[in-house]
Amino acid sequence: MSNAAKVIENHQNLMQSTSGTIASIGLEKAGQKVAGVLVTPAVWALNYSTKGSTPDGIDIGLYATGFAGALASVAAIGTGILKAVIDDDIDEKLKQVMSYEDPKYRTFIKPCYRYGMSAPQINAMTIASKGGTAWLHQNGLWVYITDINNKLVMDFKPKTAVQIYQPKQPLIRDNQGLLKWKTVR
Amino acid sequence: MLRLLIFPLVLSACISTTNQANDFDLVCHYFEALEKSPQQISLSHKERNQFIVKKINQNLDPQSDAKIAWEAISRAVSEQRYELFKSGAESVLKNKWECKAMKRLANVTGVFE
Repeated sequence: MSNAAKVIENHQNLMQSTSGTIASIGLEKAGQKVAGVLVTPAVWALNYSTKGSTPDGIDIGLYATGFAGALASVAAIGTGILKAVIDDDIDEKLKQVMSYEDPKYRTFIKPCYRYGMSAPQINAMTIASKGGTAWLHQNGLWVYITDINNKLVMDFKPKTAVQIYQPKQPLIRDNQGLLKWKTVR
Repeated sequence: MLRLLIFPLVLSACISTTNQANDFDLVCHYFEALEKSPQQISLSHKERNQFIVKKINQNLDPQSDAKIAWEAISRAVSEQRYELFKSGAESVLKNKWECKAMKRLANVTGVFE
């Protein structure tokens, strides 16, 4: 699976929970459920987010017709556009997370989805086992924090979080250098 | 013009979550196998984990979310492991997920006691 496609797949929940953007397009009639993944052409997402327009009958017909015969190269463009929409959405949510934290820490907060290729929550677990603090903000975004040298911070206390993953104190390290960790709340 | 762009479908995103679903279920099957193993009661946390990790390494893709999740969760505090894995599985699968064998054994299977 391409990186962009995996990002899209891993952020399906986030996309669908985004009020005013993708979730509101009218996926129940617009999307196509294919092998468990709801797929909507990026252009609809863009149209909706920029103009508020939902796909009309002709669009849906073309979508259904084109579904079988779409060229992979063209699909890749669509995937890229949709990934850009997701990136924008994540950046917007990241700004919200930053706004809750002390200004001196804000620039060091990063979304977990950019940490690795797994789902954000699983990246958050990996971060905690490597000595970092990752937390789920109430807007649904998993984030983590580094210091100025890009090193993970083990004992950061976010001002607002639904859930926090971080190493358990006192630190216990295994023979691979990974740490015992826990969910704080 | 926009209608022409309708054709660019996000085919790559169509790639199913089935593999991931299978991977989380496979990890569950490894716990079921562990539970059926006669000597599992006498094994240590680490030895039980080695049983699971060996099967994961043999069968799952290195990039598998289930594999990466268990690598991290096997280092989590014992009493939280099952709920963490369940939560991670559900975040990937977008569906309820459970594993009775893992629920019984995850708190005694891991890198740390």
